[in-house]
Amino acid sequence: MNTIKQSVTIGVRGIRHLIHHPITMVFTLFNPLVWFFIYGQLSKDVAQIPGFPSDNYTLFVLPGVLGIAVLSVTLFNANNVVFDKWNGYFAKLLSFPISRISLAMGYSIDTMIQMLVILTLLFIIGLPFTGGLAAGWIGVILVYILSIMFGFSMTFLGLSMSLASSTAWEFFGMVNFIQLPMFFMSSALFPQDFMPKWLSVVAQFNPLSHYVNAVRSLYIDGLDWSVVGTAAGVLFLFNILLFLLVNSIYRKVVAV
Amino acid sequence: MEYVITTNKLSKTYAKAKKPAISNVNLSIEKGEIFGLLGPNGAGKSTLTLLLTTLTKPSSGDGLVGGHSIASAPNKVRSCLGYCPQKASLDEELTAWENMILYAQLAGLAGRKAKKCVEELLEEAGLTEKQHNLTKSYSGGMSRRLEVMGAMIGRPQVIFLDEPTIGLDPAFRRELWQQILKARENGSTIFLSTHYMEEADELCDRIAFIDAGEIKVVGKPNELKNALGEVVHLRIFSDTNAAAIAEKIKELDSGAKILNAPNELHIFTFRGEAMSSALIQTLKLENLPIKSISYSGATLDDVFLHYAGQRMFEETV
Repeated sequence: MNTIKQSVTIGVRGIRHLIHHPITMVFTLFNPLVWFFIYGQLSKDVAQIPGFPSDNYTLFVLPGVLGIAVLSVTLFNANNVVFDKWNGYFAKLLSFPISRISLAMGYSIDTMIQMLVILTLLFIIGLPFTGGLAAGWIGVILVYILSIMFGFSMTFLGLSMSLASSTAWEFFGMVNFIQLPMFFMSSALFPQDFMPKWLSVVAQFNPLSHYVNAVRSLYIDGLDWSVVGTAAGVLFLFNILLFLLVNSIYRKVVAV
Repeated sequence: MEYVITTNKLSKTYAKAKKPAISNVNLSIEKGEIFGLLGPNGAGKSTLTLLLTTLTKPSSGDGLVGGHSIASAPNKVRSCLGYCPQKASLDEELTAWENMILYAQLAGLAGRKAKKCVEELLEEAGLTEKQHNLTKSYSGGMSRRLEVMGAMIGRPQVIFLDEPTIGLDPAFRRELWQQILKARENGSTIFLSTHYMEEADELCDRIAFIDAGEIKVVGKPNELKNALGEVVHLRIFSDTNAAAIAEKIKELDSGAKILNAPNELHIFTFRGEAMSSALIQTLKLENLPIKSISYSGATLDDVFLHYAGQRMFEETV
């Protein structure tokens, strides 16, 4: 059995959880939908401010909502590792003759599938309010590619935190510590030009901003390879950095 | 003699720990044996099991499982073992079937072979009817039975069971014993870590006592008990008389071994009955009062007491 098959076998476990508990998808969707519908309505007049990139705030905020969804699904799904470590299931998996990396890949596959399901649902829900993407079908494909890139980097971050945590409380504390600042210090809700200077500089180093900016440009402006290429490059870099991080922690934790 | 597990000066010291969790363990376990590892909580049973199942690395020394080194060929070791951890190892959000098929696939079985193996084990565990229920709906006994069966997937060369019957009621415990015996009949060697003396006595061909990370003694349960003969347990009112009483015991049987405990003396002797009656008379004459005296053939608990110098907490089955 090769590493890919082993990873898929472990990843399928998460899909089975979803099949047994489909309601969890509704709960996962709820948070992004609140931002989309409630916050989108509350802030709709912001789009009337001169210089705002779109006169439709709902259209403007949807890429931010997609970013929030990718961020929260990928970070929070790593709690499976915390619970598996705590209840002994992780040790049981490690006792099988499987490649050590397949375990991390299996958790990532499970997370990415959940992320793609949520992304697709939000994408469909957003269609009547946004009228689709200015970049057309190629834009849709690029949104998925960018989401997978952003999703993998955040999965690596989530796994790093879950492997480093000794308790669930520690893990959730870390996720909150990362997630909220990352969200508010990004261009998810407002354009970077509208932010205070210092915040705009911070947002520039935030992978969520690059993801949102690229997806937003595909929704509003059409296909601009320079924006998409820059985002893809930054996300690739974050993937490398966060993979190295998770790899070093994983080696210490697994260490066998 | 064919050995499936051997260890050579196997030691483990955890980071930041002052003492080694296990130290210089030398064991040889024969093919087809049910080998019991007994010791109190914190004695090093789980650490030794984790080392042999390659879930932690030795600090020094090595061990061979199925002929492969735990230090240099851990994945080869994993391919010949089944493991049931002390902690719960089922995914409670999956059904019994889903749990077992996942184990089977990770153990390297595929397609029909995996399906057939899972069907057989579920039937053996009497869980066929409930195989499609989520395991969170199972009783503690049913879950543990399934976990033990999970370690038997693919009929591995060695099955490691870490406290498999802990917390189970006597009926479920005995059912599990039958499954363990059947696994041995099917050709597996069983490494059983437990702190239940009766379990070790009934199931194990040989046992090792571990205390404070060191193996104290290894042998067949009956041989270990017979080697000690009988034990006289003497309860006294005050430890101030202990030395004087010990002196009288030595006068009666110079070969007896005496172990002191608070307000208690344990005397290992081959003349239990004669020693008891003589001791009662002598102590009465010497005006050394005692609370009670009893003697019996040595139990495994006495074996532990003899080699470790203290009692191991024993629950009755």
